[in-house]
Amino acid sequence: MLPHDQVIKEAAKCSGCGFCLSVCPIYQALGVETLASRGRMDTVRGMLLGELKLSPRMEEILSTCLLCQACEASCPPGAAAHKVILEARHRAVKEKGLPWVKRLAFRRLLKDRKALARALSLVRGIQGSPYHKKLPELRHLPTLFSALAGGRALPPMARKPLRERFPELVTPAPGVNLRGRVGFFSGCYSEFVETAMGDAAIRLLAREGFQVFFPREQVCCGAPALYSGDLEDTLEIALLNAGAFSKLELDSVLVICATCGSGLMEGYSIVAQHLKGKDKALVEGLSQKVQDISAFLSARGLKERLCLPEPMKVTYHDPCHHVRGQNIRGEPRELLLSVGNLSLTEMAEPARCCGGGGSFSLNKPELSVEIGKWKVQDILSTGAQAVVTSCPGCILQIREVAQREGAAFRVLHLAELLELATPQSCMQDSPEQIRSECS
Amino acid sequence: MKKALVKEFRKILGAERCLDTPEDLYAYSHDCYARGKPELVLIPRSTKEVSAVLRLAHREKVPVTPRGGGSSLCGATTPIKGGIVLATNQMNRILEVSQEDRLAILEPGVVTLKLHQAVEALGLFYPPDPASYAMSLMGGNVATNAGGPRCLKYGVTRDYLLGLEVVLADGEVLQTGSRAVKDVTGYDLTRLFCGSEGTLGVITRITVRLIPKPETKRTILTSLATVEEASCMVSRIIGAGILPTTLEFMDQAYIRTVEELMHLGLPLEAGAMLLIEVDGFQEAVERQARVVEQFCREQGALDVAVARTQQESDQLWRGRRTGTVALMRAAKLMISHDATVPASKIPELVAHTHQVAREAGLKVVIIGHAGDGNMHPIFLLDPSRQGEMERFDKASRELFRFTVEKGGTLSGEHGIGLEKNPYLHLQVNGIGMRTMRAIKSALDPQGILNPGKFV
Repeated sequence: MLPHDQVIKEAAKCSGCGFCLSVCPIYQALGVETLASRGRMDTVRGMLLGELKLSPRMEEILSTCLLCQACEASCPPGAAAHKVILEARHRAVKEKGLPWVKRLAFRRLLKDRKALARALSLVRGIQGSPYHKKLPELRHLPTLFSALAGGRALPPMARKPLRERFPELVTPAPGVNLRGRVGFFSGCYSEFVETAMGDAAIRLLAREGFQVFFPREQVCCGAPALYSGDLEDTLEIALLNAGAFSKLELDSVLVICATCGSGLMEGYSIVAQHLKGKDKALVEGLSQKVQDISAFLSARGLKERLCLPEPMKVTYHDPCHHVRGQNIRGEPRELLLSVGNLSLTEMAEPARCCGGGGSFSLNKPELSVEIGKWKVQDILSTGAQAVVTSCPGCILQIREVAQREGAAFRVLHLAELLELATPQSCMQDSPEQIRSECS
Repeated sequence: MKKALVKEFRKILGAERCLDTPEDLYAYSHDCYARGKPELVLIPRSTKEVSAVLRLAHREKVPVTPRGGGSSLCGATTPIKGGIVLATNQMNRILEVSQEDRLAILEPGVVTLKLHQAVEALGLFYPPDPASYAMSLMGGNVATNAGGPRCLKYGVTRDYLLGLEVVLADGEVLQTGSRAVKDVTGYDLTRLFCGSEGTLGVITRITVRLIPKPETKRTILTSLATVEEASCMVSRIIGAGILPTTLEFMDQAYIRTVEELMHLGLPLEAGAMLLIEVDGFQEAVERQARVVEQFCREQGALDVAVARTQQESDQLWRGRRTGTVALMRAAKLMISHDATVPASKIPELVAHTHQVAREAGLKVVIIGHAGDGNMHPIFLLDPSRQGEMERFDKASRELFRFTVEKGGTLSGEHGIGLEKNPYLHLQVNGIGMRTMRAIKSALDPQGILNPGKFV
């Protein structure tokens, strides 16, 4: 997936100092160096250099990583561990192939929204049935099948996918100053599961004066395939998405999921190196256009001063793919602090991984929950009524672990929080009125 | 290792904490300095388990190399004779923090930072702060007698030990010391094990002395024209009755290299910089900071900055903290020595280090803990250059010789391990070695504990 020399160069940066062990959630949970940051870097380098084989233990080492990049942030020589892991996973896929569940999901469902919708309605049918409680949770569809063994709770599926709730072009209400044209990348979770965050984001953008293009040809961002080391499917997915947005002449393509954002930005720029000519330009073009909604809005500033109907104490959780993946830390906080009636209390380690890690939570459910508990504890310690974040994966993880722990705080996407707040000038109007104006 | 023996170890610890795949052996084979090859990795959770493991290892004459955080810079924890790596990181409970007796009792796998946090929450203080404190383990700190920047004022790990529980080579469990600060009963076995680098026993429980947490601190950064002036400043400050918490030294080569990499606005014309921290009660700290500032000005310092807030302090620390990180990123290989001389010899050591490096065609920059003479010449090496490592070894030998000649020591805080073992005789003479060997053979007659180190 990445050039051999480049990966070896990254891996060689590791001096073995072990500073990363102070932040690796896996080390903190398991206390086994082989499976944690430094040992993983070391053994994976050993494999890439041919000193170690792709043994079952090596596969375990590769899969027991959240790709949270905490190790990188603490690494004095700055080794990009996630690139090394990604390449090693890619080689594992080339050598051993994908597990059948992933193969089915990546090959078929990620690229086809209709097939995905059909599969999901099947899931919904099962959810409505008495078997519901026996089923695990669901995030990206690829994890659906492996999820059958995971034993985790299942969030309710949306009755109507996001795309059926909005036209392809959402324009600001008459009289609102036009500030630009943006594309909207929905991501699987807000498309099919919790549409509320997508709803909120689109309305907010329209209210703020942006034309929002929501092209129907877009599919999954491909992050599940990418982070599994599946180059082939990621490439096909990237081309589909690049095609969907290419002709629209947009200022930016906005994401509301930190993982989608990292996949589309860094991931696509990596896989694009395997393309040529027009295709390469297309995928790189999309990769460069993508921006997180919080970065986009905080750079431009909110037009109207927002205010919550009642005072609310919140805390903010930094998704790994924001704080380390995209260097986003201040932007969501700036937006939060601009909201009236809101007080922001920082938790002890806001940038510590929640333990979700996409399909990690399904492959390693117990480990994932254990790491999630620390996050829930940190949130509880702030006494906040709600934790706000910018990644559906984190939302799902934190909410589920909080439920298990009997914690009562709300878990909200930043866009949903901003939706709860109303422009101060229209405080008298009901939120419904504002919504209908905008959509 | 025989399969039957592995099976016996597995019986003691269970399969999950008895690891022998090639990957596990690879991951536990090294520290920053060197790689060895263990045959088995064991992760005990109790003194009883450590004892059972050692009893068996003793019976079978299997080497055992204890391991903490694995952050050693000198190969102290590298298994060079095969056998077992005994990782203590899962024995990580803080068993007691007593405000009344001002002590803490903990297991060896407690991370140094976690101990700091736990005691500071109660208004207490455990000063030793090795650079790796965020991940180093207390067992390793004791086994290497770890230091750190704060040790000028507060002393090193050794100075905070009240007692230890140590599993000896044959599996017997030894208790040393007590809960009392004053304790003159028998030989001071506690200090014998402190700094023994795992060659005499496996530390399984540690009792440390705590002191009240200082109320506040001030950070002062000053640059001076020459190393001699910096050295003079150091003796003037201490001579005036001020014992700073920290007195960090940076030489011109360091300043210029870091400035080139990072553009922090460091003074390129300065011969040396000093980062000085004083702590204590608010009023006392104010007064000490004023005196230090005044001395700096009288000494003709090129500039003086005093930080009043944590943020300002962090700003002043940037050149020192992020500077070393930048060096690490820029160099192909960075090796830091910790040769330590009496404080008065710092200018000579700095000059001699640069001369030796120049003659060997090597790049070196120097930082250090100026107050206690603990210098860190950092060599920025490129192993791919013809003969570079041989020249480095030769330069190292000369520097070790010089350090000892000036009344100093091979290692102020990193330890001996594999790196400085060949030079041990420079400082420890025949009688010294004989005494050490007598102790070793009394406690570990089979020589199974961390073999190949020390004696």
